[in-house]
Amino acid sequence: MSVRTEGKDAGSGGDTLGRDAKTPVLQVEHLVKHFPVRKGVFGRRVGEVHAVSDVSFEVFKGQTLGLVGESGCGKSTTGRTVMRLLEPTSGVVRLQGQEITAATNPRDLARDMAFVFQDPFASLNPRLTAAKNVTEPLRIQGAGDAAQRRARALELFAHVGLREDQLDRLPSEFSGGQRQRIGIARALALSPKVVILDEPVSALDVSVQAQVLNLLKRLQAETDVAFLFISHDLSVVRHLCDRVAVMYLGKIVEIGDRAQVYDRPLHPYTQALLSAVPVPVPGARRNRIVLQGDLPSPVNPPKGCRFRTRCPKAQAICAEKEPELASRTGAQLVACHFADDDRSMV
Amino acid sequence: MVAVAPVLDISDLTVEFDTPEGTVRAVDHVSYSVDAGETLAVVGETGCGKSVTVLAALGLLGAGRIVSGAVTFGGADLLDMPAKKRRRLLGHDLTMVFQNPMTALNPVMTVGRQVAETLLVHEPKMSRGTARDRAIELLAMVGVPQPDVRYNQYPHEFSGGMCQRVVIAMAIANKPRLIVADEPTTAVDVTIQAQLLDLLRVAREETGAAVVMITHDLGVVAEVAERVAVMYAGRVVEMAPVEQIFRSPRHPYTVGLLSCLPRLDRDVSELIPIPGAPPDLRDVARGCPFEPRCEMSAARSACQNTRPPLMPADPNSVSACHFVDEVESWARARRGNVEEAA
Repeated sequence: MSVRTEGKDAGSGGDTLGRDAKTPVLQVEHLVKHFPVRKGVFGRRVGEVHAVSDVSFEVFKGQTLGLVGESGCGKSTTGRTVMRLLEPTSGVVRLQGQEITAATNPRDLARDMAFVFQDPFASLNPRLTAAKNVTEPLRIQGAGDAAQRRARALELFAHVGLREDQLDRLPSEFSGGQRQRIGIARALALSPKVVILDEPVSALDVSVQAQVLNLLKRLQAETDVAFLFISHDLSVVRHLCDRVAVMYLGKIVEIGDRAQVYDRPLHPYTQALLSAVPVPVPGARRNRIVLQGDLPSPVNPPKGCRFRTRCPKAQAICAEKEPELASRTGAQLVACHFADDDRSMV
Repeated sequence: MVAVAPVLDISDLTVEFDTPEGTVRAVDHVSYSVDAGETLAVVGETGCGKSVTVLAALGLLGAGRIVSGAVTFGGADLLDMPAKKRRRLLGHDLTMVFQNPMTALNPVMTVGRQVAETLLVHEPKMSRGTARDRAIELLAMVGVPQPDVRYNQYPHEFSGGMCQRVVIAMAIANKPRLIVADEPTTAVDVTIQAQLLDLLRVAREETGAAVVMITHDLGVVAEVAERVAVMYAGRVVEMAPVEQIFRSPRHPYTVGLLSCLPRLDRDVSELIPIPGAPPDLRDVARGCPFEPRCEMSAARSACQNTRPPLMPADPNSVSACHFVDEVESWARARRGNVEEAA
């Protein structure tokens, strides 16, 4: 009855996700990342943090996949593991069909994949001018001479809305929003196929955040770059992303087109998450699903469904059998035994 | 509203800081008041002075200097009050919930004792046993599970959300008349935020206290507030009932804030950002502080040269804009332009 969409038959879930129309630039399959928990004088390994457990998704050309979830759900670790900033425990990442392995030269990888970090104050080299920061990837790749790199810096500056006279300033002379523009320009320096953005607007005030979000949309329209957009802010993700994956305790619990996930969420966690966000409408009537308790420890995640300890719909089966991420009544994929009777929740 | 004296009344408060680069006026002639049982949200971006205003008003400011202004609490002058007397009010009639619950609690004292201490400090005659029982009751009231066990645990054994519940328990322990909540949910996840906002609402209903909620999140404002003060560059630029702020804002900055918000509840074709960035307070424009970013002003000389005072815009609201009558039609035209372009 349910269509499994893991591993080789990933394409069978289908047409509704736009898979036939476009080819994925980035494919992530069964990604796992564990961190050891050590104890004692000799650092004995006493357990493992299951930060990312069997995560699979695809990002398509010219599109944005949003990875949302609360702190500690593994969304940032996923991004960093995909980029090989962290070595995965297991799993496969393919960039344009090519598998990235431990043997892949990071320099080659950096040509096609770039990263934008959350903190615009910590992610730029404070001793390099803005122009040098932006063209550092070119220098490392040995692309062009100094004059050509300078020309490229100017081009990138124009692209992200910075002025020529700002090229030779130091990062400390820029505001947070401007620094994030520099970070984005640097990520685009080598015209990558995929950019992973980890909470790129979380440190910015709303008036500046809107500028950066509009910039990202425009850049994507112009260059057809694919974004993996990691964020805890559900409103921002709705605005920017074509598809959305919701993570909970190291797992994707629901993934689908933006409209499906936001207008008709099927997983009880997605439903609770969406209902918890305050909307800027006074007196808005909302049926809030208030989740009980806190996130369980990822060192010792609950058996069966990881969400069951806080789930208002949990039954005996949820403790015994882990639900597969599969297509149910809707077109999106959802990991819940009771996703079919979703109407009772909304 | 019946003419009762407000619980907290801040009038014309100005606060300055001396820095190596010169004097910074962080709070510039700010006035607002809040009544019993009412929630006033103070909203604005980083550095707009929303926290400094209230810290100065309560005498909790470290380095700054109060240049002018008066603050009364239940009719008593807070600024002229002897420090000893003010200490007796703080934590009893007048309590605070801070942004970071981990640093608001003492890490080497059990959670229960900290709650009990809040009671004992203000009622020295209370027996330790009574304080303990009452503290456990309070922990139960704010939704800490197994309060008798948790009483003996330390803050590091609590999650962030649970710590904030403890801080709220301490804030309501002595039935305060005013609770100041400074970004109380900014450090926690949305599902925890929903729990805490519910809890704060219940706490207000139980105690009948006035609440000043300082936040940058307009979603939170819409949810909890009756009245809203919008701050920009150290000044209140608009103050109005919550429905009105969202339905028909009367200051270009408020208009801008609302239209640059990505929305959870609907698709927005394009965000309309406010150009530029908030000003450096060492160097605020001579006229209206918002003028350099204001698209409505279009560099008119009144905006560039004269500070607009906070004036009644209509019976319910005040706005600090020279051209307040133009705001509504300008906002409508601005929205229209973007929709047309999209």
